Amino acid sequence: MKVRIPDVIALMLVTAAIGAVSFRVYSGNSDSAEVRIESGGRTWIYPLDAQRTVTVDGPIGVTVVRIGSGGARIMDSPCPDKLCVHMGSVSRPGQWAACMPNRVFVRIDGSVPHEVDDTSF
Amino acid sequence: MKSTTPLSRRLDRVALLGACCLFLSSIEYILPKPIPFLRIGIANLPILIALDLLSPPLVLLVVALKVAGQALLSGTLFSYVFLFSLVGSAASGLSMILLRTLFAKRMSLVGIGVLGAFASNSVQLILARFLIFGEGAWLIAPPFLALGTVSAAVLGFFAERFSETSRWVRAAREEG
Repeated sequence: MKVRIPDVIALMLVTAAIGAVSFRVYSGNSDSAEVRIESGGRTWIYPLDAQRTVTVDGPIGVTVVRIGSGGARIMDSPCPDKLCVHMGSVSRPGQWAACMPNRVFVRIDGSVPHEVDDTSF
Repeated sequence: MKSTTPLSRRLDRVALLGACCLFLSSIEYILPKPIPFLRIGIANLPILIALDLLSPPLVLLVVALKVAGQALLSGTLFSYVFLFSLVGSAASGLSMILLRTLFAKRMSLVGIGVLGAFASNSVQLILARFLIFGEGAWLIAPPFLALGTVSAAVLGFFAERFSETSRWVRAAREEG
């Protein structure tokens, strides 16, 4: 069997395509997940890999959200039961934490795949 | 490829190649897979062989037999998995027939297999994007496509060797 030029071109094309897909998927993947903080109809969006503390004004006071080490958590809120604080850190897309009394909603948005138990094609 | 061989003879080849697909599907099904969606695709070997022995409609018939055999073996005939299998196999089958027609013998089964696998996997990824995973589907794309390329190249090489040395293939080719 001889390796022919069209074969080499085919392999190079496919390799280039995979390289391009890999580059698009893996570069900037870390900042594709973002923290959305919603309160009173306003939305703030922060990259998940940021290190910062955000204060959000709500109807009954100030909610403090800390973003860092790949997650976001509500540190303090003026609500009576502090359920939001006890919800802990959210880090994966789709996870959320909220302080209902102060109408502050924190969720993670992004393009990390759902974790599938098993599938076969 | 205009064949003078009676249709019944050519259908015999379809049946034999289809049976090989079924057998190889069962081998593939037995082999453990570290990650569920990674397959080696040995059931596509008879399709590569069929490219030189059958007219495009009959090659597609072998593809259909492969899809049906795989679905029966894995019990996925009435699940969304069947859709993936069908669409992927159709994409690779059609693209490989097209490549064989365009390039004839100038492109070996390695190149044809690699491009066929790429067509199949790309179409399946697009399906996965819209049916199951959403944008997250792209994250599995690089390993999925890369492994598909490697296994297709190996299979293509094997098919090329098989076509060169098999007496059955030679006899069928001479028969037309």
